[in-house]
Amino acid sequence: MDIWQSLGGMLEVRLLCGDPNYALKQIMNLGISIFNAKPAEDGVTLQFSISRSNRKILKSFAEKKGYTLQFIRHRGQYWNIKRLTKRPVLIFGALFFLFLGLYLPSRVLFFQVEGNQTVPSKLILSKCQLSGIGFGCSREEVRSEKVKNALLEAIPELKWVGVNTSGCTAIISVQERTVQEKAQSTSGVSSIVASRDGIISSCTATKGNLLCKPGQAVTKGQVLISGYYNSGLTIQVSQAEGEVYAFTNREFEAVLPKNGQAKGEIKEVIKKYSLIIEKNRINFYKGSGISPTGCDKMYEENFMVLPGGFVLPVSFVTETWYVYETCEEAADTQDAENQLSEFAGHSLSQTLIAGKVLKAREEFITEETHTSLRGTYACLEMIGQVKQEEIVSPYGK
Amino acid sequence: MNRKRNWAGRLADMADLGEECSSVLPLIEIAGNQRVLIEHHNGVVEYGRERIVVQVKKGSVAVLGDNLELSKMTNHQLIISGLIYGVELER
Repeated sequence: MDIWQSLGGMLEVRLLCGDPNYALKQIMNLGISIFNAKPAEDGVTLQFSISRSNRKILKSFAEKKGYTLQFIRHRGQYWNIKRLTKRPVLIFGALFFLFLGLYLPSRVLFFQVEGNQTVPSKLILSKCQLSGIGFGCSREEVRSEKVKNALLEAIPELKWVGVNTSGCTAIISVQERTVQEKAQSTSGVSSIVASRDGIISSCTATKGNLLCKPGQAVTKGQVLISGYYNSGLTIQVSQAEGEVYAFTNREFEAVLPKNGQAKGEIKEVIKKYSLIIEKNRINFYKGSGISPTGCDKMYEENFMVLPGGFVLPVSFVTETWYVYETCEEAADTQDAENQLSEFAGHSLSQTLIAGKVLKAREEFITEETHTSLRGTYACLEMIGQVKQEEIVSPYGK
Repeated sequence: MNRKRNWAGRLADMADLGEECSSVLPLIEIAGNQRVLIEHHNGVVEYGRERIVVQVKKGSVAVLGDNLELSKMTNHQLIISGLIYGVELER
């Protein structure tokens, strides 16, 4: 059976007749081609194959002659194909996977950022998306030069970018500028000025012209270390560097209400699930998802990761809401004062640059509705602040 | 008929094709000891595993062998396959 017979479809038949040789001749005279005819063991039965198109002719011939005709089996790929057409889901699935097999290798599905130390990968990927490289984009669309230009413009911390594709993965290689390079990039003259009023306790200049000394009172904005240095013949310019510590005076005021809402026992725990596919979110719950007041919310996002560490843009989100009771609580006067004092100390330590509180004078005023603090703090802190100087050309800017 | 055959035979001779091309004489082709092709036949006279006799013009052709089978049979062509021991021409 050749390929055309196989595709056309063959039928294996058994013919019960008195004279097989005569029957063969008659069938042949009808123009029917016979294949693989096996001789009759009993002398009356013929078994052979015919083309599917000759089925009706043979059937009518057998009926006319009074022979018994049996169709034993189907042969050839035609019947397999016909069987397949009765299973559309299977065909659709096979075609779908064939399409995926051809389509997916031409797409970028994973990203790998390498060479970055301070610039987050997320930022690099988000800027890449702006230049057209995103999940599912064509591999042919990835142009290293285009991405390089876009990223260098968007992220100044980068000095070189290259994009290569390996299979379905786009490897974004970056090189960052070093700190020295950043300092060199800032050009011009800078001085160090006082950030607030105070009395200088110590001063050190590593670069520039020191214009203050310990014990000197300075005001806010006064130049402490100048970037200009007059050598007698010429005026040299530089970026002033140094440290200036001074005794300063700070005032702080804070108010604490007497009655406040306090968190009580947890009434209810609600769990909400959602699926995020790239930028699309599918919520498996009703409502807006905005938590009510008196509720703590815990957000947990689990990304799908392939073996090898590739993160797919598909994540499963679990939000746990802890709904708690609130109750009114009146603060004790001593507690309120302690809280205010602690708050003031914490706030000042956050505000001071390399400094500490030397002496504190705090005054508490307790009223019906609230307790207030008015404090004066003697501090030792660094007051030097860099100020960029403007160079004015004698012929204008 | 005789005149027609002679005319066809003469034409085949002129074209240097051989008389079998005139669709009158049987053409028998033997491929090793496994396959026999007979063209211009008139049907099967005897059919068995060890002997198949095919009727041709002016006689018959008997194919002798073992495990013989009619692989293909059309109006013009007949292919016998199996282990072939011999082919006899009978008048």
